[in-house]
Amino acid sequence: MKGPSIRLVTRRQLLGMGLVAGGAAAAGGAALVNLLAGAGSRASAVPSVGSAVGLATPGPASTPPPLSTWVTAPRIRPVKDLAARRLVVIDMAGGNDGLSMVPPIDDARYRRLRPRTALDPASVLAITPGVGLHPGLPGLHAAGAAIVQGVGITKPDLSHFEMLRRWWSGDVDSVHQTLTGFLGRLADHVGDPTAAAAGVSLGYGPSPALISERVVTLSMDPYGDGSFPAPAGLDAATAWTAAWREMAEYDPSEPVPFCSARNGAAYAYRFSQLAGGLPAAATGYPETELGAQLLLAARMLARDNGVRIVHVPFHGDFDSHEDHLARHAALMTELDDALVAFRADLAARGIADRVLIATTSEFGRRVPDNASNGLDHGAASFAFLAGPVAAGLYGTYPSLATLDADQDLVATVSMLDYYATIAESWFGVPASDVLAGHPSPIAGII
Amino acid sequence: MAVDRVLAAHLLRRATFGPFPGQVAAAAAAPTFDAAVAALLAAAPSPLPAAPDLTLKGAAPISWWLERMADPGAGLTEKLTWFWHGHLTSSRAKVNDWAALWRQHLLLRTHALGNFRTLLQAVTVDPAMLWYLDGGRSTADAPNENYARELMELFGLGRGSYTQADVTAGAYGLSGWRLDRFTGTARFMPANGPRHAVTFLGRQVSSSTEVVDAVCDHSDCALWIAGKLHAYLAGEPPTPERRAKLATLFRAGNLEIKPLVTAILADPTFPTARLNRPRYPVEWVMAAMGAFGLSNPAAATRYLIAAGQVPFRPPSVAGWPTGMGWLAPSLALARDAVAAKAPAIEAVAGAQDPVSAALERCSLFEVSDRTVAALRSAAAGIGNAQRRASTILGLTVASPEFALA
Repeated sequence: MKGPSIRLVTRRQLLGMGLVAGGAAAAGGAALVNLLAGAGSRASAVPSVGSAVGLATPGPASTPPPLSTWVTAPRIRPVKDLAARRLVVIDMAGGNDGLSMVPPIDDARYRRLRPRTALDPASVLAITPGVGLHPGLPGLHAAGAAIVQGVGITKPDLSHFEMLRRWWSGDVDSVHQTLTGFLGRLADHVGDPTAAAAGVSLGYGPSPALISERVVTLSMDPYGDGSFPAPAGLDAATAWTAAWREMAEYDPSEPVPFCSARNGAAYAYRFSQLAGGLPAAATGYPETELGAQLLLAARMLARDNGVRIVHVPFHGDFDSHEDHLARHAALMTELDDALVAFRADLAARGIADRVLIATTSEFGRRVPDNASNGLDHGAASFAFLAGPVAAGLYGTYPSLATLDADQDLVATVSMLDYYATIAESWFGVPASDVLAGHPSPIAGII
Repeated sequence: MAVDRVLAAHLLRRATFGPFPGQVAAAAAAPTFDAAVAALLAAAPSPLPAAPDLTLKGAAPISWWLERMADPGAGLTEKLTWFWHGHLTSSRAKVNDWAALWRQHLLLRTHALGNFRTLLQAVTVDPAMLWYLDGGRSTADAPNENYARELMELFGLGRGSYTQADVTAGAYGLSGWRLDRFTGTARFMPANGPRHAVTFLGRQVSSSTEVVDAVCDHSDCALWIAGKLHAYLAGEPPTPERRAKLATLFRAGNLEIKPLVTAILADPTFPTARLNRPRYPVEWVMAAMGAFGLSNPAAATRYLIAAGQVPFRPPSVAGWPTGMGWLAPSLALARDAVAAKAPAIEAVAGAQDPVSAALERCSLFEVSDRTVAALRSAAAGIGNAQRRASTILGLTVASPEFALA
């Protein structure tokens, strides 16, 4: 869900070409300032919200329980070689309700605040006596995950588009106005600038989350094969390819739209070579769009082809202002089914120890429900990291007794600390290189 | 010719789904550019074909609309209907009722060049909109905030013009509408609606009509719509001064849309704002099919799915994004798949100079040396005249120039 266009100045337009291909700006010779430089001086204004945030009444118990109590699968140890590690981010745009994904089991306030949309406690898949997973997530429950409780932003906004911007940019207070995406910056640090793509979004059109400066990032239609079509006939096909390459030649003296158009063609051609060499698809995936996306993600990550980050826009409608229970349940089932197949595929390919799975969503939902059995826009939510992680509950369960002025959950873990965990604990990239505000990784997950 | 073909083509790229073959010459015959704009605004659209099959299965309204866009006589109304569809959005992905979406489509079409207030009032209680943004079961006791927020953030004012208190009050004022999903109709249920006035955007409101009026009367409304329409038609946001002038004109004209469109197209800056934005996928595929001499909704839909711009299926309530993202690699591959299937049309195959003929067929009158050189060497490398014609036309459609509006 992208908001209305933002007017960009010339250098921003060049950076905007990062949407097309991140390498373009650097290739053009522009010495781009480190957009995060100087951000550290603002650190005091952006407090890291750890579990120490004073809550009048704590939520349910949150100590990570021993693995054996709820996870049945053996733990996957992460591959030691940092250069072998990859990331898959499943973005649940629209506002995934954390209280439904990781519900409290025995909390009278939950049922009082949500008379129409609370889950039946008997159906919840227990993690601890007080906290569990949505009944539609049995696969995740069996395999385990590092569940990050109360993740959000200190001063949240209730607009999808403002919060999406903060999440894709990794810009927590909307002050830095970062022009690159968090995943794009990560790709800049871990990716090879000569690769056909260091980051790929499996959606219909580019994701701002992958806007980069040094490496190429691009998008691919999840049902496409990335191949480069040419007309029939050897002479026509030869002439076609030659003319295409000639027209794709980058010329910095031309206006920005021409540069973008030519670059788009050039990177498409290069990427089509990579896409043509992907290993065969596995079977066993559900016939959902998320299934198709994760199937393609596994193929893309199976070989050393330069792709380090795959962004998966989950196109389900998480914006459940109406009929929350049934709609959210269908989405949880779709997520779980696709993840089970994906993790089996990764294991069969021998790369389960190389791929970290992370979820994002711009906000959770309002705690009290509305008259149309739905939930309006909220604030803090829950996310999880899956794969080679230590399963457990991390951070503090957000309080249902002390809500913010809009009746929303108060964040107990900053989005920045969540992102720092991915950058630093997984990729070995110092969090301060890619995030402002000196965030710290959440200890113990990787 | 009294109007430069370059400018005539620019006007038709922005204000219609063309130019279709032959249209540039006709527009260029106008005595002045302003006269060409006036002729475009005065032209009555060709008659609409019969309504599509509205049964739930299938996607006949999508094909119907793509076929309609491919009609060279559809003109400015068609382009503005598409603009409003991307602004006052609803999606088939959520609204499980083609008939309701079709009625919303007709609403946008009827008011595309009409009055913005009338349009916004009608869309606010339109059944498809009540369905899409969850107004159809909202009661004053526990109002649903979805429509109230987007009414201000996206449809009428823009971010920063309202507070969360306005969202809450707006939701209360808008409550009481009841959508019947079986009949696709809506009616107001006083028992579920506002029981007293609330303060919304600084005035007292107690009905959906008053909520929408408060939005339309807010000074930021005209600024918001003028800015968005200018960005669409002129390819870039207006300067603050220009935006303020357009907003003043829009308000003085009682939020009539046609004078606003006229002011944008007739402004001296419009002719220079050429090739400054991408052709968005629907625009691109219509122009490409037009150059091929085809109307093929099935092929167009396949392309639009890959490109991510299927009519009646906007990606979010904010509609489709604008900007250079539409020139990304995945889009280049999607365009290439269409271009590689270009037919060998006589206008190119029978021409002395197939490259010039293909450029004319595609209404490209300002082309970089690089593109012309690429087309010429391709033409020189293909012996068979038919295959040469289809390849050159396809490459012209695949050129960076054709990718821009």
